[in-house]
Amino acid sequence: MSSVPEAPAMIALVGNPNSGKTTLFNALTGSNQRVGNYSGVTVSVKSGETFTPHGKKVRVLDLPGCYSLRADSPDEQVAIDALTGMLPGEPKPDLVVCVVDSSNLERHLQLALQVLEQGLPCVLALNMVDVAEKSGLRLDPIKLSEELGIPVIPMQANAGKGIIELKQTLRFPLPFHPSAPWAHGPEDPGVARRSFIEQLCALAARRPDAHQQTISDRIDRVLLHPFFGWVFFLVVLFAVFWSIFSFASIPMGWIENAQGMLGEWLISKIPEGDLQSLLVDGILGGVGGVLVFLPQIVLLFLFIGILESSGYMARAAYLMDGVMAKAGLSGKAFLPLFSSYACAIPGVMATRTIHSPKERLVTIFVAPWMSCSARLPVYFLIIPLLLHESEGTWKQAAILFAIYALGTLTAFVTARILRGRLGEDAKPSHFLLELPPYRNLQWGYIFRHVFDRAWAFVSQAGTIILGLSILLWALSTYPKTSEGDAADKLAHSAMGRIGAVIEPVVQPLGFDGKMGTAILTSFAAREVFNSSIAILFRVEETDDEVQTRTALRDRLAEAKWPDGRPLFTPLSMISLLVFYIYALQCLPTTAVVAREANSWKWAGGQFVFMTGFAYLASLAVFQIGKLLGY
Amino acid sequence: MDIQWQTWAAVGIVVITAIIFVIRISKSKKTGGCGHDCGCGKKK
Amino acid sequence: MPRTLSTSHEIGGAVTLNQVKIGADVQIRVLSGPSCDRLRELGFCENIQLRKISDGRNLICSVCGTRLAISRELAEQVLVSPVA
Repeated sequence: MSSVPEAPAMIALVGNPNSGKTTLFNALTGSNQRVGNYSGVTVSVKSGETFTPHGKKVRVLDLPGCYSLRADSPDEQVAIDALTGMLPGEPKPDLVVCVVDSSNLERHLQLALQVLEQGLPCVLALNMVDVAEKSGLRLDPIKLSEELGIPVIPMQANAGKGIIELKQTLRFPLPFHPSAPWAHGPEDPGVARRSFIEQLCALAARRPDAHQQTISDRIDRVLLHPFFGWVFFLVVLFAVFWSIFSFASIPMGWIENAQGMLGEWLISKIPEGDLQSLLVDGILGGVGGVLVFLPQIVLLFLFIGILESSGYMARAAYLMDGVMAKAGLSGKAFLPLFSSYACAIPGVMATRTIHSPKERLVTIFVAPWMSCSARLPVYFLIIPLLLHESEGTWKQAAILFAIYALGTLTAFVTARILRGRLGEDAKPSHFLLELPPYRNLQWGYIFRHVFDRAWAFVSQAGTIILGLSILLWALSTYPKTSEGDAADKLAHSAMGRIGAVIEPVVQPLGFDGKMGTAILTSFAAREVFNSSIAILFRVEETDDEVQTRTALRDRLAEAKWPDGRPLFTPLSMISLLVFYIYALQCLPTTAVVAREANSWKWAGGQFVFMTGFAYLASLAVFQIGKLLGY
Repeated sequence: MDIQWQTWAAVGIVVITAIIFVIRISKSKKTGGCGHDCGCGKKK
Repeated sequence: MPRTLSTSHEIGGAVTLNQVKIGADVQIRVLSGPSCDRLRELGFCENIQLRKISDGRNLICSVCGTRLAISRELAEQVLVSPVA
């Protein structure tokens, strides 16, 4: 280290994971960063450039986050190599900036002391002072600086505060720390460090006397109560399902009305013929039959967003740990499984937080049985048919709740059996979860999240469902025959013929050929069932305005077998619901499972198992129901 | 005449849709992972 | 269960975290067991003070201002003594 230059040539940032080290790195370097992988390890060291207040250029190295310099993991080895100048192509840093989270000094200072023992010039960046002060911690940076013998810069890297002060230290004479007094005693270095930190924190980072009862603690006292906690949990879940039914019916009415009006307008503009039929029955019926469920999907994602953002999700995972244990899983599996109620794909990806590999595999396997939002349109179509018009929304909510419960329960039983088969992990892992403080809802985040999902749903309706609706319309129209009524024409069409072939397969489940065809098409995407049904069960439009506007449901209620029995009996509808609860009709899910489980066999087995199970369960429901006289 | 015109238009739309589907299916084999088909939103 | 070196240190009156009463403030004496490194990473270090907030299948502790839920198996590896 010669004394010619005014500023150090290179500085290194060291710190625990989550100390805000990378935020600081980005604040210092702007966008001037590149990622370099060093041979042999997959851990990356980022480097960039920054300028001192006097305009001198300094290279900044962002070392991987680590907890200590014990060289236990590849990350730690890279950090040690970088500090000792062993990293290929990089000189020894002239100055080390130790980044610590000031609300967690007891933990983070351990690494800082180890860095000081290396004998390099060092600056302590006391990051996240705002968080520390909010938690009642009394920080004394001056005292800390005196005790450690190095500059201590309080800062808030995410807000850009303290960056200038930190840059002021990047010049000669470098703050050199001559000795590490704690390291010269007879004690074990780890013990010596800890007792030094203890003294230091008692002086310069006093926590409020005893542990404060925070608001979160007081809320938790109720929400994590062994009895009231569960009451609250169940009330929340039921309220979510209930409001999905009751609140969503208003905008759903608007969508249905708009659809009806658009249909009438099209009929008035285009004379009767194939194009009119394609537009009104095929496209409008098919796309509208799916789009009408947008409000309910928006609400479901809104509630999931609120639960995540408020911090309640972690409490739910804590409460559910005991229940999950009965399924051979842990509370960690709760979030992936709960997300699967929205969509199995993010759910399967969220299993990455599960440490135990076998638990993770089992969670992935059963995740598609948590009824996802793509099944909702089918449920919403069928459930009201089970009930009379006069019966309240709470009954519908109860049925929906039962559907979710059935899927979930089966998933748990399967998980338990599977977990028993797979055996224990080589390395035991235990439940460990941080409970974040309750926060005000971040509406911006929630709305963006809801909008993304809603947009994905709408764009799917506008692309794939639109295309499938057109093709389904064609299949149910061609080849044409001029004889007979609408039903005869349909029987003559390609779809009618497919239905005739399928009918023997699905009849034991209580379905006719048309329903069988609709189920077959829904293997492309579950919602397509609604489009198919809308197209397959279209009835001749009449002049009666009310009749034209009748929803799909009313038409289904009138559908009959050839011998006059109603087609949609309560039993056949329950059988249909059961089929949709269990069948894995989502190719993207299978693709993601194959990637996450790293095995096409696992994904393929899951598909075959679930679809076979769906068929058998549906068969059992219908046949046993018939024997019982329903 | 009118009916004839409608028939051709409908058949045209169906054929175009079928072609788009065939192209999409043959293309999509390469890209695995998170399809946007389940309402899962943007890639993370 | 193997004890670490630091057992030589005074551990008079130390009990496991499971045996502590709810609401008690305790100080960690020794971590011993297969998961002790993972525990240290989360802030369960020797000499750190913590408060046990709730009991049950998993217990909740307040450590350095954060609330952590850990299983009884993990809590068994944390030896603590009451704060004077």
